[in-house]
Amino acid sequence: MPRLERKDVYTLALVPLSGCGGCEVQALRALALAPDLQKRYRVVYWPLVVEETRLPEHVDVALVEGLVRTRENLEALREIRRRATVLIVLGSCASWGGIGGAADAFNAKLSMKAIYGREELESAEMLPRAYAPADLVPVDYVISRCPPPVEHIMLTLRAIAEGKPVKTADSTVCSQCPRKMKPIEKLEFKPGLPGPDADPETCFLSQGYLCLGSVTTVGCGAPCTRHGVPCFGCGGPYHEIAERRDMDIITALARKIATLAGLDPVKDLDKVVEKLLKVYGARRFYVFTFASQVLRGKPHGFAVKALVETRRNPVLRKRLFERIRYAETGEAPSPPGSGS
Amino acid sequence: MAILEEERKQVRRKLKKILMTLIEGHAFVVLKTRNGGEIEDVLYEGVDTRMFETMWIGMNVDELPRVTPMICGVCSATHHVASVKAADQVRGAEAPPEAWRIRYLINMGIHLNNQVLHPLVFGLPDFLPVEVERRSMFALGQRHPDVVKAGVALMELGHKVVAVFGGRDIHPINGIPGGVSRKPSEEEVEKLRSLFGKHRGDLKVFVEKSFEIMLGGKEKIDAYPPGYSYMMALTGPRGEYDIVNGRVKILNGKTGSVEAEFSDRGREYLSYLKEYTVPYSYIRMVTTKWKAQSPREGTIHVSALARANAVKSYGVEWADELRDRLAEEFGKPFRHPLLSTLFRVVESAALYELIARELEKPIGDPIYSPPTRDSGEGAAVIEAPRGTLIHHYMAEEGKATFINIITPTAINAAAIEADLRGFFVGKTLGEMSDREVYAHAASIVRSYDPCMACATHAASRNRVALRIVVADENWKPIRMLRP
Repeated sequence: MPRLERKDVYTLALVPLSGCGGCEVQALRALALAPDLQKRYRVVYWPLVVEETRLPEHVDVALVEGLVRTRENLEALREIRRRATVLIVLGSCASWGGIGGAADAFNAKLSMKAIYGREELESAEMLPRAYAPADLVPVDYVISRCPPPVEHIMLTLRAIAEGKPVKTADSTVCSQCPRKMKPIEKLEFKPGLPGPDADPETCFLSQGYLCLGSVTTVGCGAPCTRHGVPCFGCGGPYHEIAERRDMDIITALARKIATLAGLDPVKDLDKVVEKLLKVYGARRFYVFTFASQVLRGKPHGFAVKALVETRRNPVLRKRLFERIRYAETGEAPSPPGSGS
Repeated sequence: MAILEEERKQVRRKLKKILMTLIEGHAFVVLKTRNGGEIEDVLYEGVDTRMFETMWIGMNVDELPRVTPMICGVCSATHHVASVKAADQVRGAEAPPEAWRIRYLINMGIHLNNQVLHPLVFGLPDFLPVEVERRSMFALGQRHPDVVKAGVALMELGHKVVAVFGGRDIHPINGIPGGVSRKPSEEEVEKLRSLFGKHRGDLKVFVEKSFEIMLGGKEKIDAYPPGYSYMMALTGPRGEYDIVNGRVKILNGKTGSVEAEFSDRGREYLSYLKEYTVPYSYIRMVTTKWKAQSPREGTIHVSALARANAVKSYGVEWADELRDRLAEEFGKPFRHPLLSTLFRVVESAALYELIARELEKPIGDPIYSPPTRDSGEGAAVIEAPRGTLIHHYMAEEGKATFINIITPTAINAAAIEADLRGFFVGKTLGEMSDREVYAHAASIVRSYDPCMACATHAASRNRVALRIVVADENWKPIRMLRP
């Protein structure tokens, strides 16, 4: 734990990088709903909330939200690391690259062209790839999830103020999901979303739908599966996958599925992985972790393979060039099935 | 010439970057000056992107409704509703009426949350005395604890509505092409119902106190004249207050009369709106298509203010009375950009009542009708808290092939620039203190509640910490202004 001098009131800064602001809303709620935290923390920098444009030379606790997408993001991140005693990365973007990392599926300059009609703008300098802040500087705490639950922010800030250790998440979404796991009768995957007609009490994996709950870190309360929508993995990987070099999202999930299907989780692993890749494509498993160095460095490199596959795919390239035409001329591609 | 231009570009960028290494806000206002301070032009700039329009190409189109909310954590639910409305069309699905009711409640919930959030966090602190240091919601809470307490309760209430009907309060997931995935249980709805019964007092305090504080600063509202040319909003077919389905109307910015009208579905919007890329900003600016050669013409204002002009009645007596009161004070049509904040308060009064009424009626079946195709096109125009929002998708064999998203702030960007130009051009920097320049620019920009996350589909909703750069006649930055 970082050494934080005991004080009655700590200074708090929140530095937004490229994010959506959901984390900031959650942090704002955490402070608004906990008067005790308002007494223990004095907000000295937080563009969304406080009218103050200068980041102080030193802050006690800093929260960082969003991913690193531009050179300015990178410089801001380095600055806040230098100036803060305790650095907390807030949300999936800051922890794993989050949804913004999914943009790495395509070359950044090509994407820029497809959106703006030019490879670069005179504004902030776009980096060639997306980065998770947690990969770039040492961080003291990770509050993952998209968005991080208000209670997690409260508990962490409170524990830091009291000099106590913060409880860590050590289980998966399944532990909070009320659905019952049942053996898989036939190893077959359905590509789409289930819809309200699927069995509301049985595990999605058991029903043949892709659900990342068993490989995603706990803490959200499983709202999606409770609403009939399989887990999307927005919380980031289960801590063992993050910590152990030999484990990857797709292989860990395949092992679960193999077990449920009565197959051998070691010998039949490749078969299940192959099937998953065929139906969903590797990209689907790294929606929130595509930019993460932790996942890109895994032994079989599924994340990197996904990246290469997308960038080399001629059909997707064609789509990008259609989008470039739209950005340049304002002419939208003709709708599919209209003979184009 | 080309080489010279390239060199100039590099110099501009380098100089700007030096300034940007200071960690400050991400929304820029650049004031171009000549003769040592006379303001000649103003630019408004957004500084990063997360590339939402390309990242999902090749992925399952059904999942867009839970990906696109992540464009913005403040109004995620409204993106969710726009997204299912577009995905419905792509997949050839007709969502049943009961599913639409749930989708309406998701959008109304986030509207309630946002229309309270803006005054509380940005609008009202602006009306605190200038000498208060670090003006914020927390500082407001020390002077007006009752209004902050009531406001926080209402914000939470809005989020609860989204959580019950959307599955999650931020980044909801319940809407799927063809309907919704689940309808909430009677217990969940009953809980909400009783909360809506309980918080009426808070609403009264919030609305009356906000009106009191803001009308107390009436001269502030009058000080900033509108610079935009048009207003745009979605209304129900008979001009009802409808934030999900209806017709899109473009109003004359001066007279308030309807100049054009188009469908809230399909690619008709492309015939009326034009997107521009400007070299200095990550916001693709939007103007009307028929009368614009550059993003400086045909600028459009979208917001609660535009809705107040386009909508015949909110369907809630109290809200209509509040609007009439503002009509007496300011005249019709409502045009001053700073009035938007007051109309956010008016809408919060309307939304509270409309949601409470909806909760009284039980939600029936069916809530889903299966999609009929996997290739197609769909575009949806709805009202987000900040104004008109457009999602446009195409898909082939279930995979997304084209995604275009136009957010309210992208539409407003050109209007913000026009307002800023209207106020600043011709004035001289030396005649105002830096603090004053900052406060003027911030007041104008903030009144739009610009969501930079939405506009650039990226970060930095730095509505408060605007960065204001003074530049010379070649747009070369000279210095930064600080509050």
